[in-house]
Amino acid sequence: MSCLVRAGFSRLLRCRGLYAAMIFSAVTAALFLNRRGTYWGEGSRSVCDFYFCEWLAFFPIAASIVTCFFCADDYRGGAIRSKITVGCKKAQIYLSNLVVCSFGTLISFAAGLIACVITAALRGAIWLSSPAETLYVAAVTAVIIIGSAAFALIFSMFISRPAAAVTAVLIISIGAVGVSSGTAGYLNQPEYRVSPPAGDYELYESVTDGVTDYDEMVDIAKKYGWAVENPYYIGGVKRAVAYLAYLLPGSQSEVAYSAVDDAIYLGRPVMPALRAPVPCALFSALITVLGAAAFSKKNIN
Amino acid sequence: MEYVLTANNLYKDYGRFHALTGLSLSVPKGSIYGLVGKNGAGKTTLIRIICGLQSPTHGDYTLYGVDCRDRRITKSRRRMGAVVETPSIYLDMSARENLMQQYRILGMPSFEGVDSLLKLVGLEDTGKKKARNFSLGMRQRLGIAIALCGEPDFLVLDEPTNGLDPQGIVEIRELILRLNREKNITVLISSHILAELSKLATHYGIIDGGRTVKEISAEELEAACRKCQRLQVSNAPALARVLDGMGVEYKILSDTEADVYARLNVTALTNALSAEGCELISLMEHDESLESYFISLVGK
Repeated sequence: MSCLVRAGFSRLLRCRGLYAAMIFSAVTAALFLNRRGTYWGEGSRSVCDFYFCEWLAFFPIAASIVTCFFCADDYRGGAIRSKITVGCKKAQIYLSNLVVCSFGTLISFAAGLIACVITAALRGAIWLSSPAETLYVAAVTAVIIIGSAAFALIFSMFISRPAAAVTAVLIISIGAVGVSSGTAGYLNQPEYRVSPPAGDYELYESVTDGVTDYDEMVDIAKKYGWAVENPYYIGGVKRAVAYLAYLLPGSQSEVAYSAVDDAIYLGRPVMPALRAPVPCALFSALITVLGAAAFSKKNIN
Repeated sequence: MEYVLTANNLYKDYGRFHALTGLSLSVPKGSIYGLVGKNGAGKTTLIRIICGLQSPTHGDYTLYGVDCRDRRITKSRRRMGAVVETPSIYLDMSARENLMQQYRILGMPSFEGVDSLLKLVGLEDTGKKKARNFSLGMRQRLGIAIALCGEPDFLVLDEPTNGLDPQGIVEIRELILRLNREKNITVLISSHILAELSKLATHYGIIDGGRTVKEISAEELEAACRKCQRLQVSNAPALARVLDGMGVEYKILSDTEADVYARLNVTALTNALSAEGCELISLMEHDESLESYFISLVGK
């Protein structure tokens, strides 16, 4: 597999998708921060790392471009056949492509980061994050990069045309996120909404300080008369359907993370910074295993 | 006889379509094995299976004696090179870069041998020209060069002369013959251009409808397609005695038929047969070409 990775790296620098993703990444970073620049205040040094985190949402697109173009090169010339013919296993090809495409996405991320820094410098903005927070963002970014590449890889290893693969990745990712979160949001509407009257905020904050459990919050709200029945609440069988959302890989990995966190709980959450990256990494691992297994069964023409 | 590849009762289904329906064949070591069949007979499907691109639905094959389900099959595949349908090349790379890339995939420690491979296939003067600007023949030769990386001793070529001009066909043919004779590489070559194949192959596998119709050596095929006089007589043993007396080469086909591989004096033959009490019913020239032999086996 190391041979495939080495060969992949030498191919990566010739991949048009890498340069397209770098340009996309840099342009979106610059435009995104510039658009937000109007809120930075007159002459004041403003926060840009928050916007930087939002910009990360563009990453799946950059990853899709790199991955789909890289894999399509293998299909277009038929080079994937010569890899298999000389004894490389399909799963090895899949995993080596993940490594190379993740690296390619990292390079495009670097291009975006440079654009961020330049834009921030031109605006006179500063980074307010502490080193620990910056490390956390870096961890999240790395996981997002690998996760994005892993997700895009499933499509690009099965759809040989890059444009079709990129389109499929975007439609399915946006569709899956939109439909699943929309449906879950609709079905999971709470029975009560907590609505403290204006002026009672100090009281509200004092009695709810440290309360994070929804049921406990509702009990307090009912006691003070702040609980309002939610007209959008859905009960019965339809609500039970919402629990299907927990079967999704993301939810499953969140549950797995919580289980590990609870198991080593020492009076306080010991891995709060990993709440996002760990489920994302588990999700990436899961879809990679599924993708590699499916690709191993695929007929190559 | 030692076999490089043996396929046993291979089946391959694509949904409801049965591409292979119990195909069996054996490729002897050192041979040039011509896989002959009509379009859709299953030639490419078989090649895809033995190259590991696809898995058989049923049945198995062995490569250098290693079963296809054995983990060691990947090591056996290291000993083979293949050009399946179109050559496997990176179009945005030069010939040299393509070979270097294949060397990397194979994990070769150095690029030693790239130049000799380029020379072998006649692409040593292409310089930095990208493969996308190559002619069809040049791409085909580059594909063969890539297949030859790692010095395989079994080469699989799927219709390598398809779409080539006459000059290109001759170049590829000479290259294959040179590889077989000088480097002792066993070659499995599929084609439906029988005349072209007959200039190369030492063994033939004729397939139709996804299964093997006949496996035959070049000598046997030559004998089957030899020009002869087909005689129909009332008594074949009597004919044999007469032909022995005349000292000509012949082959008895049945109780009443025989092929004679010589020019015959019909009067002398008729008189001699009369003396043996045998009647000559008919005599016709029989000249079966490779094409007609193929059609007689697989139908039109």
